[in-house]
Amino acid sequence: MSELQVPTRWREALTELEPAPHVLDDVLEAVREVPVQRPVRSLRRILPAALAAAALVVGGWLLMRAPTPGPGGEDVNLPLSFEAAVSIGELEAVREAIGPLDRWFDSLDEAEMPTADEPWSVLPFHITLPWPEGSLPLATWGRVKAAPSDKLAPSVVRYVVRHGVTPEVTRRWSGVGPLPLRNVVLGDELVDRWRKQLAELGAPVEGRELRLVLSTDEANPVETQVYVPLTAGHSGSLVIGNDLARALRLHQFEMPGGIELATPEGPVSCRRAWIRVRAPALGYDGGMEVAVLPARGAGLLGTGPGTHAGLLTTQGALAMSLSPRLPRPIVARSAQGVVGLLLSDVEPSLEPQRVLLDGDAAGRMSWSIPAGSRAFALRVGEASYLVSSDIADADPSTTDVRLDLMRSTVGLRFTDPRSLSFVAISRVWRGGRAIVGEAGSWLTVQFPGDGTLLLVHRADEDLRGLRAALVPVEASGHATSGRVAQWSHVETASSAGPGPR
Amino acid sequence: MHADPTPDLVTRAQRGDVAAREALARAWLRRVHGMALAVSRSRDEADDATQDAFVRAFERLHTLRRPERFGSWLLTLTRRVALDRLRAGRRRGALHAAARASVGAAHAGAVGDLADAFTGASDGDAVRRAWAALPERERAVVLWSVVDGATLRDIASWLGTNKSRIDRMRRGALEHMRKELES
Repeated sequence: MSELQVPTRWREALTELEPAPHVLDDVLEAVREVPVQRPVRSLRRILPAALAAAALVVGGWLLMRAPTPGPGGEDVNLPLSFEAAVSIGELEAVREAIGPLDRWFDSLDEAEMPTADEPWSVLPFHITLPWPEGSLPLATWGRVKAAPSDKLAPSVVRYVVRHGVTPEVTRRWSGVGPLPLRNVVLGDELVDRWRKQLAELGAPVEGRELRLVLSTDEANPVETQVYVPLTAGHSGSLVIGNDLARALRLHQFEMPGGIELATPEGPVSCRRAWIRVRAPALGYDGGMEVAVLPARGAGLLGTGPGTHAGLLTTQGALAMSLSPRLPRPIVARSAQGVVGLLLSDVEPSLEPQRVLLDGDAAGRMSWSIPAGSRAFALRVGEASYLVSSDIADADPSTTDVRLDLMRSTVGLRFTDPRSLSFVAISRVWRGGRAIVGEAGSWLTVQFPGDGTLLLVHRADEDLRGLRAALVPVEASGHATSGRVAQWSHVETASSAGPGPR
Repeated sequence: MHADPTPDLVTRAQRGDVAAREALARAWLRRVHGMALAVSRSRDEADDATQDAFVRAFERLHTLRRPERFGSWLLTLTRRVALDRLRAGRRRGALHAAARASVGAAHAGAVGDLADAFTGASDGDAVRRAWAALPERERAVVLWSVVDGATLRDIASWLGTNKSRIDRMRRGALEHMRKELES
């Protein structure tokens, strides 16, 4: 049936569904009152300005240039160091790093979840997304949609894959999967770019260095400079020392997993983080993964002044290799079979990380977590869940986890409930009901074990914006397919004391 | 062929041009209302969702980085707004009972409610009832193509799919309506 074959009476009948005139009047009146906010500036839009600014910087470098024989024999002035501005956790940078996206949404909801006639899969995977705005963007690559959750240890997204569309697109990861970001480079690409520039000009690389100006956002201004020697033997990922990472508050932008360095002295486990690197003079502006050395590994970077960072050496005396790995589980087992896994902490000096679990006769479990911990996963039988927050005390039971924001002895205590990131890992957390309270009240999560899966995410910074959904799972228990069957009952409570169990 | 004025209007609206906002609202009203109507359980709710969607869109217009994507962005936002209202209405109705109600049931209820609104014996009511019985997305496709005159390519871009799929969806929807009316 073509468009022309729609019966006239159908067309007339459906035309009556058009909005009444008052709807337009109401809309026009409403939109006039909306305050104006200036658009977020795209990097592409500001690139010309950035290049112009870079030109000014290059002007400053002219003072540092030394005569270098060019390909034609004439002297070519080249800088002894290039400067790259590194900004930590810029949302725009992340967006740019992901590449062209069809659409962005500031929250994830069932509008993009499965419908009755279009099955979708909801898959968890990890992505290097620092997300400082606390929002939940939904990104779309063609037919593939991804919904990053907010600050889950610290950056985990659920991957929503649409089936039944030709060609069907299905991507599956477990643990730390392949990073789906485009334009992500290891640190050596920066150096390679400069090497190529130098090679084209026939200039030697010895004696040159890459100067990285690392700075955090405006709210937490910390700036320092890092000199990365540019020699022929350097390659691999950028490594940042622990002290520098702490000064930069890089822990906010760490990602799950780590980088295992194989050194002559033995393996060194580095944390992973995400930074943005802008090096206009090298034509580079994008995201970069960095390895953060533990405190005890600082010596690998040398002892000279300013050696807070370096590039892994693949040639030379200090041979290293990269191998992404899952966080090393720090496991303690109790008589009840409860396993705690501390994913990461803020203070690596607290190593070895400890999770102490103890059970009483009633089956209630308690644990203590090192101060400063911000991500904790607990596995109870087949159910697991993860809490990411400023955790001081915790006391869950195996069937009813109570997060009490009022009392330090029971539940989890959060220094700032509004910063709470309580996120269930979709693959593993079976559950039912979440009741979210305002600051100073309570949050209760129950696990009915009815074969459904609870997804929890926040719609905004307000705790009351936390929403949950039930998703049926397959017999295998994996969330490889399914649709949202029920959005959770989420109610706010302003109780002055602990809520009902 | 005239160039699509939407991107330019969006850019102007992002700069605070109220006239551009109004032009966008006028240009997209029927499509937004169609999406809201496809999701909502009544015309009144669709009217309110339409207004909410435009307000939210202009509140967040500064986050739209690709003005040429305004249509799909706006319609997706509209669908979310309408669904939010649907859920909110459910919560208002029965806070605890609503926790056990599924989204699928809510959709089914919405379809039923909307179909019940067309209870007259006229041909028009029958057609609208047949339309209301369609799945949500197909309702939107039919409204946009039949009433608004949108091309399959435009609809495909708004829904983030391809033209042939929209064509199949539209054909299937019209066929379902025909069978519904014949029965």
